[in-house]
Amino acid sequence: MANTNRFLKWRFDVNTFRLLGRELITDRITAVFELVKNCYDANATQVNVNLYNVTVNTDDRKITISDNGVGMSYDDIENKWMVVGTNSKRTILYSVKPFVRRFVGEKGIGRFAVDKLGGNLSIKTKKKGYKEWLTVNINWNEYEIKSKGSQLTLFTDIENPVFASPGKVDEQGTILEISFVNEVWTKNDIDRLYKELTKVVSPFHPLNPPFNIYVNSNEHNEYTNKLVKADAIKYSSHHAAVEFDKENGKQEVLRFDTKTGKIITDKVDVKPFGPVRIKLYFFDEEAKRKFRKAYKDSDKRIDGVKVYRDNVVTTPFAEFEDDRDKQRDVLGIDKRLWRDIFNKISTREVIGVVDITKEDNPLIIDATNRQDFVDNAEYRDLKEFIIEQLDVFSQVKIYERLLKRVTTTSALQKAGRDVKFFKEAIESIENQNPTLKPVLESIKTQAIEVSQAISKGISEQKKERQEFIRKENIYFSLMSLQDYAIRISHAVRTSLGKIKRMAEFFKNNFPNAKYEELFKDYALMIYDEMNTLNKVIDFMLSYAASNVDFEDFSVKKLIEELLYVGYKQTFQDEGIKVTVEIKDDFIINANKKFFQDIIQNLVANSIKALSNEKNKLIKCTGYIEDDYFIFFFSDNGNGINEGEEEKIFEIYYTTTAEHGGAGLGLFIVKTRIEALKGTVEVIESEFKPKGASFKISLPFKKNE
Amino acid sequence: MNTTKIVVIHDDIGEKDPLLVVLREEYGADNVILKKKSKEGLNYVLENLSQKMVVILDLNFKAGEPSGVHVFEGIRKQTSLVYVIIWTASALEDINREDLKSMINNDALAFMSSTDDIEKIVSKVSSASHQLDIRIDSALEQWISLHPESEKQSPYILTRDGKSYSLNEILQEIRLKTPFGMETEKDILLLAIDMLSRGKKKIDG
Repeated sequence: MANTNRFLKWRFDVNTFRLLGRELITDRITAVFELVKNCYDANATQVNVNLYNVTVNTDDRKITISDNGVGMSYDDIENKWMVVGTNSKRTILYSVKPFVRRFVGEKGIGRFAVDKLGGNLSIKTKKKGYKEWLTVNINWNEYEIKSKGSQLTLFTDIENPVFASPGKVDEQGTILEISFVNEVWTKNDIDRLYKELTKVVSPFHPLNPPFNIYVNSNEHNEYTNKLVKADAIKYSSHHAAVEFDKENGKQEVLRFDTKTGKIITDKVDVKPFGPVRIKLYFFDEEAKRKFRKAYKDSDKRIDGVKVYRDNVVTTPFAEFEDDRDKQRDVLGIDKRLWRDIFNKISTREVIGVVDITKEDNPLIIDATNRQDFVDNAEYRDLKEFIIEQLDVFSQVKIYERLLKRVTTTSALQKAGRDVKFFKEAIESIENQNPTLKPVLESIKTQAIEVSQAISKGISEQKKERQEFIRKENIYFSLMSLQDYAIRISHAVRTSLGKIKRMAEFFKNNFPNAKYEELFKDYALMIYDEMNTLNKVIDFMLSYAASNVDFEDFSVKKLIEELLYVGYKQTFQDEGIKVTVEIKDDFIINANKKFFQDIIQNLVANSIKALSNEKNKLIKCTGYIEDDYFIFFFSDNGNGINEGEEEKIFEIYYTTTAEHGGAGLGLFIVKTRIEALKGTVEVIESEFKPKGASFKISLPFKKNE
Repeated sequence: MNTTKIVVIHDDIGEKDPLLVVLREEYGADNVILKKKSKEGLNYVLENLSQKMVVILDLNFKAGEPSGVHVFEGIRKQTSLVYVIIWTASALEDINREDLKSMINNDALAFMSSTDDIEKIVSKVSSASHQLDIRIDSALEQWISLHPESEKQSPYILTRDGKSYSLNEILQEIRLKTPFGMETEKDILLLAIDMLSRGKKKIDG
């Protein structure tokens, strides 16, 4: 095939290019990382990442990524490189023998990564058995210019020249040379890159065949052919590991022994997902401080549990993400946090490695998007298993905190007793030798002062505990707020879109007799939509600091006051008969405002549902069951249609639009209940066949 | 040539939404259809595949309804003849990356924000509608749809190197832009130009 002076065209439009290149790959580190992952997929045993003059702002800045992998043919470049999200890696999960590597590169993202790095790209590549090296030159800047024009399709018309140059038959590999590097790379950036690259291969087991990455920078001596290798994990306060005995079908599991305060391992049968090896390093507060101090100038972080299959990282997908909150948490470690933030282990307290293999764990299947595993029973079990092992450290945490508190409290109490004893001893000496009284008086006064100080210390400590519980409570309500922020902003934008379109219609068409009716409708709809928006914003504002405080109050009293006193007039006007039967009177430590919101919105919902009912009833009953306060809220209104039991809690979902329903009330009920760590569900109506009943369960706050 | 149907699949807008009013002015009241349930929307599109259609599709639907991405994929499994404009209140970066890639790869025509001007959306619809009229594969698919199923699958063209292609395969080759597909596409165009230049209206040998 004569490859000289040919041209290649991209196979997608400029929108795609901008979308994927500029918006999805937001970070240079990820960009290089993506390209290195592609080298792995190409069965390379060696990759050189070469950064030339990148620290200074000169024109000759260059990044070169070269590998000795299988290279590309002309056909590969045309049908894989120039197409977005090619299928080749999607349908085939493993590379050819003897490597049999599980593909790690993100589909078709690599080429956009290149654009992120610099303005010009030259790809030089060759497959074994071919006589020539192929070089394609791509000038991204030209695309940028085109992309600003109106003719989007032109992007695919740009011709990228291809050249061929002679090579030896057995040579193979790919060299990407990126010039006109966009940004300056500081030493810190290179360190970050190095650190990210250490995550590709398991820190505990080398690969065979190897995958060695070398980082070079002509500006930093430290980076002269520096082999990428993970550091040993240091400074952890506790660590534990589980192994397995394949021959006898036994898997080790961790257990915390409360008697000795130590982590031990038990043996159980190998789980359906197959045997696994896990190493976990836990960092308590002091260990975290040490870790941060030791690595304060580098980007090394305590970053959670990673799963390696055959010693190569699978998940989380090791892409660089500066914002901790956006990092993928596929194992669901942090998702459980809001339930018990102070005791559960977070990804910021643990470094862990889970080793699985293709051979031993065939039921843990790579998802085709390769961002996770296929969600099957075995994978769910594996996740649960990992979390169970982590929970052992939660118990360590609780145990040590309790131990510390007990030690401090008992030390303080002992000191108190000692001082008292000391005072008594002095008094006894005083009685025996009245002449010593003037000398002993000042010592006695001091002893009394010390005793007072100790009592104050004990009460201060108690206050601290209460303060801790208060902060813990606030945290819970804020956590759920974060969950809903995304939904709220979506809702606000939907409302704004409606208002804007109606305003635009006015702008373009008013006055016009043909649309007179529509204008009237729109004026009303804009007014209603603004009211809805106002309610949404009020709801958001209700989370402002003054409202998130928790306090002690009687639930029975609160509900009775609201329903019998607060709503008395309304219920009279509407002709609604109310029954309240709260069996147990008890004090709950919760956000009173949230509680009121729940009741108020349930009432408002019932009033609307009862509008067409002659004999209107609202009933609220409640009792304590285990650690939960359960209450039922019912009305005999028009009820909830089958299949809508979940939908009714969604924002902007309303079946009562004609009564001014904006779809916010039950959404608020649900978010408030969740903020209090409770649950709400629709159950069979107490007034069936009519009406609706809600069951609400709220946990007690344990005051340790 | 039959008119284009505009199918809006969105659960948060009403029949009186100005976008629908403007679209109805442009394309006729009967040709603008609002489906508030995504499943009904998908069914409507799949049941009317012989129509020229532009779909304006929301991504987020209430619990229990298939998501916009699901609808999009459902359409693409059957045809690429229908143009789909994504119209969403989600920010681009909030859309699942895999979904985004899948939609781009499967020719989502555009991503519009729920706060975009009506004018902008209407102009996208009109360019989609125009493209529907001029695409060779679309014209061909419409023509093929008039044939019985058996005919669509039996060999229709025999190439010089002895390979045969059914009508469905020809369409597939054109869509996949294979050498044969591109060659055929070019041939059809050349034939059309040739006929045009000679003032012919029928192929008569």
